[in-house]
Amino acid sequence: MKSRAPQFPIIPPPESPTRLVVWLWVLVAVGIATLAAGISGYETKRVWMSYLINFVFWSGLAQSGIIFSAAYRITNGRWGETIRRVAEGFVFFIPLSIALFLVMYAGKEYLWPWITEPIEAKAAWLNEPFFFARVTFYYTVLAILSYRYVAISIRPDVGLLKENGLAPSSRWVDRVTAKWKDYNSELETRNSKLAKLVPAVLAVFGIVYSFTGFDVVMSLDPHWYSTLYGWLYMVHAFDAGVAATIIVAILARRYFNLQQYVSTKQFYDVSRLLMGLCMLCGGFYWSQYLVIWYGNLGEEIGRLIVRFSHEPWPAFQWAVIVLLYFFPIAIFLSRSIKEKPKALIVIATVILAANWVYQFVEIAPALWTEHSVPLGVVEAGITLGFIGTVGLCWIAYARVVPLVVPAMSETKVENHH
Amino acid sequence: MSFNLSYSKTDRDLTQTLNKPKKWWYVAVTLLGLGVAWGAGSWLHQILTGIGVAGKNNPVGWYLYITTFVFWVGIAHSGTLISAILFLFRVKWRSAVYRSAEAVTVFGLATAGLFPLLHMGRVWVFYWTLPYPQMGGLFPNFRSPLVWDVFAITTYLTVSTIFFITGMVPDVAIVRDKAKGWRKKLYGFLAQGWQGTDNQWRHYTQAYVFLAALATPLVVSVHSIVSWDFAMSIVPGWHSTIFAPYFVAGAIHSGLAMVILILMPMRNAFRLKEYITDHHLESLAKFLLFTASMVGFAYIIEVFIAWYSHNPWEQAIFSYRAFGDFKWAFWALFICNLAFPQLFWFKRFRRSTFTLALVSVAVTIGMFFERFVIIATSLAHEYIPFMWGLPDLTFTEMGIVVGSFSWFFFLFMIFAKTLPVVSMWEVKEQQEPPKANT
Repeated sequence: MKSRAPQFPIIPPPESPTRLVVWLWVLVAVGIATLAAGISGYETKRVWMSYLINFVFWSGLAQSGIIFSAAYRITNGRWGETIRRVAEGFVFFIPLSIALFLVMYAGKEYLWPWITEPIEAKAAWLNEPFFFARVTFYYTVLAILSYRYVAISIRPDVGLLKENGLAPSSRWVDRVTAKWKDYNSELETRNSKLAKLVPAVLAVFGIVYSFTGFDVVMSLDPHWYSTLYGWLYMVHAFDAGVAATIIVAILARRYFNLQQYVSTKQFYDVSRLLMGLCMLCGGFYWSQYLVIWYGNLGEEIGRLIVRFSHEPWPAFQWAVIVLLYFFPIAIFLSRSIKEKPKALIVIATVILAANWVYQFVEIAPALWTEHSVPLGVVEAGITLGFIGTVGLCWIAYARVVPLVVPAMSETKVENHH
Repeated sequence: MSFNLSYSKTDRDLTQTLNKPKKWWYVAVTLLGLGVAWGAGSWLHQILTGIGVAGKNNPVGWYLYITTFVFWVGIAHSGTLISAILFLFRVKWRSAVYRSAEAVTVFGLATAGLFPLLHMGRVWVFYWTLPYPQMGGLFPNFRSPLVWDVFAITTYLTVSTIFFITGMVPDVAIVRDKAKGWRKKLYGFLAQGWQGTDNQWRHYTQAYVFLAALATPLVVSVHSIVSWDFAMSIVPGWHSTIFAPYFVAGAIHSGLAMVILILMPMRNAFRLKEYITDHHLESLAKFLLFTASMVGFAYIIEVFIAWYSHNPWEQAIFSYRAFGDFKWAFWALFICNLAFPQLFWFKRFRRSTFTLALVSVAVTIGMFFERFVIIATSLAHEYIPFMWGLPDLTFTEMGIVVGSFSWFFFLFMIFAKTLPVVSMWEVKEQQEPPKANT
């Protein structure tokens, strides 16, 4: 492989946006306060339910950022280096999400019904110690691989900044760039290391996210089962990850003034990916729905009946179907809208919100038996807490890692057919 | 990667495949023709005597025909994947292999399309399956997945044939200009007056993108619907929500194996190693590893959920598959479809002609076994022990299966000598244009 000389300019990471960081800390505080209120007896069940919804949503989203980057590499993608870099930025949330999962140990009786009423026939799989041990194990393996992947992926660029005296002082940067040689040989080392690591990251993600779907969410209805559920859970997480990446990329491009380095063509391509993923989610959802509806078996159909005809769920279920599966196809038929950041951020936000509602309508009906809608201050508090945490993690990354990849900053974006 | 060749050499190399066939070609076509004749004879025997000669019994019925049908629909899937989906993803290595892959699609469907007719006891009234208004009150039951199948496969055959023919227009125009006799007429018709003007190219490239976008959802929909032929029923082992994506992955898996299997002898026979390079086969091998992992993972999920569900029927069918009358086929499919392709984790094996051939043959056999296991075991071992039973294998049935394989390869052999097997215009797109002083 030929060694490439870095093409300047190197764009150093921007100053940390202090005001935003303060606000994000406020959101974290709100989240912690809501959780504390829940633990001490205020709307305890709702707090834990909302916590689980947000946990699966945000941890899946953050993990999918890394998976997007790995998939981009394995397909030899060259169309969106900055977007890839933005997606990798969720990396700090991933190890944290192991701890956030373990927090749910405190609320386990409110969440998985088989913990309070064990099902003898399924006890070999659905028992408390094994459940917490294996889910922690899944997340830990994936977190180690993901962290290692991102550290290797960014090393040449961060090292280059440091070499030029542009890197902010950070112990993390020092660790990532330990034993630095020179840019070109670092690039080669990176490529050969990633060639082995990337398939492993993707394969482990496929296994872990399928089984997380079965364990963490499907087992909320312990008697119900669907062979597709794991993949359904996985593709929705991926979809949310790409939508979130688009939103963050647009915001970062604007607030860090990267317009001249990040062409709107990158948004065009990533929008097509998002549209394809929404179609995939819809296709998978339909594949599961149709088989159950047609079979009309007592042990399966209940889940659909609850969500499609028991108040208050149908409105949410239909919102997901319309906004997550149909709306993206309709809106993204327009070519120009994919290149307009202002319109795109609204569309991606709608899709992201619909993904949240998807998790809500998958989880809440299994736990919430009253007629009221479990959406209010409690849910807002927990959700804001997660937004704050993910936001802080991303900013901590963007403070030290250049979003514009130096070697690619002047690469022309290919014309479309 | 790009090709380090000149335009004139490309034209020369890629049109010499159409030269007068050599002896091996005639031998192969004759042998395949005999296979087709066996199949046709068996069919005639079945029509004249009755469907009973094909060993149809309760409860397994048409298991072998259905297995073969699903196998051929599956084979048809890699073509559109390589030509349409990889095109939309701007994958460059597809250009050298997509024409053959599309031919595999069209001929796979042309083979599968015979099976609804082969299933019929009274084939002369086949048109009763079509939704046309008539007095007798017979009308296809639109709630039946079999009717969805008719629509899905007809649509797929139409779109993939149009895509196949459209992709060939600029190439056919090149051979038209040199051809004589019946070939000139055929190529003249297929080239549709192509002159290569700017205006034609503009329309052409635009139409190609649209066709690719239209064909892409079909790759997913067709085999999803084939899977629902089974999953809609409440037969244990069939009623499974994962069936649609799992069948699509399996279809692509078998299709890729078939494409590799066809490309390898073809590039030797036609001396096309500069066009269909090791890099191309390696890319296909990597893809095969991906589909193998997906299919294998789906097998594991199915077994896991059968255990987790604690549903006695599901558990019974999976233990019957693994330890019952057809356990050999069950374990063989795991080894062929999942274990063999794992060799492709290593570059050495992706680059070796022997392992490429070995794995492709294994996957082709394995995917036939997969459909056999799904179909035969579930039919043989439904809810009530009173209903259990095993299939008979008759000579007529075997004739039809062998005939279908012969028919597929027969069509491909004819194609290889009639039309350009590698896309000249897309290969040229990836070459340096000729410059002065060189």
